[in-house]
Amino acid sequence: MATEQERNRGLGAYSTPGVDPKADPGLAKIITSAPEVKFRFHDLDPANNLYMTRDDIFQFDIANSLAGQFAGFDYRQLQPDGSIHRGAFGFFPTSDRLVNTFNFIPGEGFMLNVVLAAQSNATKRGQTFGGLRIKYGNIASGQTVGFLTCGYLAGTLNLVWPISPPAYQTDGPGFIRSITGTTPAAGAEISETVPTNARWRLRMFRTNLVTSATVATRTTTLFFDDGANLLWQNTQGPTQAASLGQSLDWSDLSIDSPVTASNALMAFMPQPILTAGYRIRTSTVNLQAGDQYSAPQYQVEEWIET
Amino acid sequence: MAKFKCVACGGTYDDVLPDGMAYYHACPPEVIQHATFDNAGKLLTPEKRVPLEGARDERPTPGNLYVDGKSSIAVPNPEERGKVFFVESPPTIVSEGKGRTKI
Repeated sequence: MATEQERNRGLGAYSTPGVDPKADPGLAKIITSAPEVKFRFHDLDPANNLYMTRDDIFQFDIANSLAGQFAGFDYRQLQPDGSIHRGAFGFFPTSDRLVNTFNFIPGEGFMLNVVLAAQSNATKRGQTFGGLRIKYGNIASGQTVGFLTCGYLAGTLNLVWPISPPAYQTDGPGFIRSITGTTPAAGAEISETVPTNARWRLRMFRTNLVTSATVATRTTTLFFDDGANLLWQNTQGPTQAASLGQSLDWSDLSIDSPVTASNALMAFMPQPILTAGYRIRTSTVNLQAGDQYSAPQYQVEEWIET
Repeated sequence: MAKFKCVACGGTYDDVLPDGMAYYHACPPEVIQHATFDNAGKLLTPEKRVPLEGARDERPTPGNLYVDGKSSIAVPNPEERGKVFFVESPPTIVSEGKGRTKI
């Protein structure tokens, strides 16, 4: 039977009797090889080569159609003393799609990153378009010497340099809008005009014509013009007699037929593109003074186009 | 959001739509002088379409812009071809026409 001494000869009370404890193995020997690449921690080069002098002007342009939009601008700059300066400010662009240009002089240093963001979470792609560039000289008439990026802003989509690739205004999907147009006066035709700096793709168009008691056969045609010249005109819709109300629907479907006696479905050309100043109009044969069109309700896909 | 009536064409419209975007009214280019008929339905005077006088177009004037928050227009620089400089100018619309009334 093992003695007490023999039982506890190991490293602890539960060591195996009769087994000599090994000598202290010491520290583990490193057997991996040292890295061949060494990194500098001092006198580092800047992360990019966009160097701004004291005379360089940062310009950003925004064209916007959303009321109450607020745009935020943030940047980080590596200053000559090695510190990183962060700047931020915001502004309210107008909602008339006109270009809003803002200029500021960040001072000397390397630009590290720039972010332009729409602060309204309701912003959809196609409503707010921004661009970033560098000018030299006078703010009012400076020369553009650099272009960073441009593209649409949306609630979750920021314009970021140096990450965001440039995108043209009419690239990609636009903003889907439902528009209630002007209710024309009695006896007048419908006329809707594409706003300044907008591009539309018309998807569907609807109105209602209530004819007076004056005996006459009315026939409605929808057409597009460029503000002066007729571009396209659809085939005449179904006839409408006196004292009737009829809904008139157009879309780029390929059918052209009345659905019911009170609703006519007609086609226009596939995906018509209409730019600023183009018009969507009706032309009604035998329209009478007491006839009344309702306000047209139409859906478009819209882009900013400056 | 307000409702207006155009004095020139008589059309009525809202200046701001439910989606929060502005609506810019533009009058149709013509007004209809409707045909007249006698009691038997015989045509007395044919329909005639004539240009609308005093047409209103509320679209912002193309070329206007805002520089650092100020309404401006771009003017060609006579001393440097191809370049422009910006001159403060109040915002304008394409045509005031006969105006509008609030309803």
